[in-house]
Amino acid sequence: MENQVVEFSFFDEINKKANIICDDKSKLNPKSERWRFTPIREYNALTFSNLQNTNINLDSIQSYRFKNVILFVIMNGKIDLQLSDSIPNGVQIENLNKMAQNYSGRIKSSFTKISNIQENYFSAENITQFNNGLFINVESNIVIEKPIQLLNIQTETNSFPRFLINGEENSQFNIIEQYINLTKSESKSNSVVEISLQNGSNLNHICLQNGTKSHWNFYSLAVNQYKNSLFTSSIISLSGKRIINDINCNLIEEGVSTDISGLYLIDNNSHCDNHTKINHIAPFTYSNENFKGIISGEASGVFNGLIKVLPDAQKINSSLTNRNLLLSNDSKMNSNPQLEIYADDVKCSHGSTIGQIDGEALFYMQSRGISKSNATKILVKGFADEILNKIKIKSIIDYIEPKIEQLMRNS
Amino acid sequence: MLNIKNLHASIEEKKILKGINLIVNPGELHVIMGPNGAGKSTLASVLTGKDKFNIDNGEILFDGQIINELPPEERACKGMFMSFQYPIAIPGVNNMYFLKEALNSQKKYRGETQLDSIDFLGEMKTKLKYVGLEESFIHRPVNDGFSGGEKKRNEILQMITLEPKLSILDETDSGLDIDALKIISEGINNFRNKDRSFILITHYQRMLDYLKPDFVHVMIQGEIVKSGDKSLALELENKGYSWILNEKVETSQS
Repeated sequence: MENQVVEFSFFDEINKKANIICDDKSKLNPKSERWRFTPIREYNALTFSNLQNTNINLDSIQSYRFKNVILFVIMNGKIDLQLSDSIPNGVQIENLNKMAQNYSGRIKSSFTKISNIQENYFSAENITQFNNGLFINVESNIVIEKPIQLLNIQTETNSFPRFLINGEENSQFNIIEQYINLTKSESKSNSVVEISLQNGSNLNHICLQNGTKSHWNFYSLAVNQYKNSLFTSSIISLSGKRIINDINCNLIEEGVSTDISGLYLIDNNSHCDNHTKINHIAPFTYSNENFKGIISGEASGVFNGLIKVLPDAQKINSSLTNRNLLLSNDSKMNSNPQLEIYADDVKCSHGSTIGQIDGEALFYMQSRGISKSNATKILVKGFADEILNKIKIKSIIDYIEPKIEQLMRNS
Repeated sequence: MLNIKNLHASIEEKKILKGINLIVNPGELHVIMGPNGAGKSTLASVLTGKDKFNIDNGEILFDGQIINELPPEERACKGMFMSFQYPIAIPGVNNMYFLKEALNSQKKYRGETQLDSIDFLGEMKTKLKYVGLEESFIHRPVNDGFSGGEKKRNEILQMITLEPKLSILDETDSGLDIDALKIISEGINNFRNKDRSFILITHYQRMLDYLKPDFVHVMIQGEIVKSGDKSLALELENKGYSWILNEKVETSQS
């Protein structure tokens, strides 16, 4: 027995490492810096029963389809091809087991490595729990005009969606990731999205998070970008009891450009936590990050954004902004933008603001005949527009805007 | 049109206006001059309904109605307008959208037909010429990144679009170069008619070379201490304010 060589399969080996991390509960220590302002203690005390809402009208799922998209329906982390559109030419969509069999090289070896499990407990937890997962590959020089809508429907109390998305050289595509929660009880989703963009590829990504009032949403997005690739992303958090986003971008080679924006709308007693890290590894890389929050009721939020510039990353240009609008006296926000720079010839800026509706602006608008409530609406909408203007798809804007109005009503 | 009776106003217990009396009839242009801290801008703010000021005594009548308690938007809808000394920047809100929203709010209040975007844009194109601005200007966020002169022109653009009965122009001339001053003055002159009234708050006589005032008032320490015609403004330009104070002391002593 002792001398027997144990052959681990590809997945077993990955799983083993992840399990070691998950066994170390210090990663969820409420006193640690990571969880200082986010009620992880509350999470630690929870157990999620294995319930499923089986009373789902499959036709209703189509109502979530945005206009002019290629729709893929993912039920509790597993793709449902019957509810989905056909896969376009030049694109492969298959489950992650198949990816492990069919692919080698950079894409296979980067699986579960793009998202850093040492730094992100929930990314590790996802590895130990995910069942199917989805691999999406866009072939080189392929341009997919229509956005690919990944509609995630959760009907089970526990869900662990996992995606690996690869853009081959000079590919161009759009992805709308959407999370819909149809559970009836306290529920949790832990999604991990890993993206690898090869030389010259261009991905425009939108993530729409829309959980129930008793939903815990853990979302990890990690991106590896290679030479001259372009990644644009909008992370829109619309609702949920606790939303915890962990976003990590690695600008690995020269000429990479990253543009990440976020909008979180939180009300009642919900909480939203955005931890982001932009890693400038190579010189001549560019990043722009802008997160905005509108917070009402007794809700609270955390923004923790880091730009890290490694010693070789000279001549980079980076900007990080977080702005927050508190609509009530009981809402709270903790914002902490940080720079960590080890190169000496860089251009970096960071800033954050937390404020209420500007009384002077309100008076100015009222003095022109606009009612106070309408002026407030215009100001809040104007605040959000900077992020919404980056989303060029009207049906998505139409999906988000009513949530902003709802937030004002609840403030 | 406007009748201010014994108006006393304060901010955080500090008394600023101490018994203002002023009647403005349709078609008249009144100028209020006075040293810094006399309460001129406070008077403008109180008239337009800024709630950080308290009215302690007196009445403001607009078209015969007491408006002391009326919110700012209703005063605007009834035909009152103030050009701000320091116009507020509103990032994220498009200038044209803002102005259309303002105009339509007022039209709605008065039971008039609201304008759609196309009609409104057509109207704006003409109005922009009056204040010497390019069309691209109205597609920018309200006052955001505007130069001092652009902000003041934008105020006048709003005035000629909203067509108020009473326009209170708070130091519209300050910070303007000669050319801009001329353009803005012409914009105001074109807008004047027998029904529209103006209160112009200023430190300088120079704008009065272009706009012919009916009355000039001097405000010192929260009171109107002297009223006259245009020659009073010229006199102030030459002699400053101290002689009026002396005159006032003499009068109260005699």
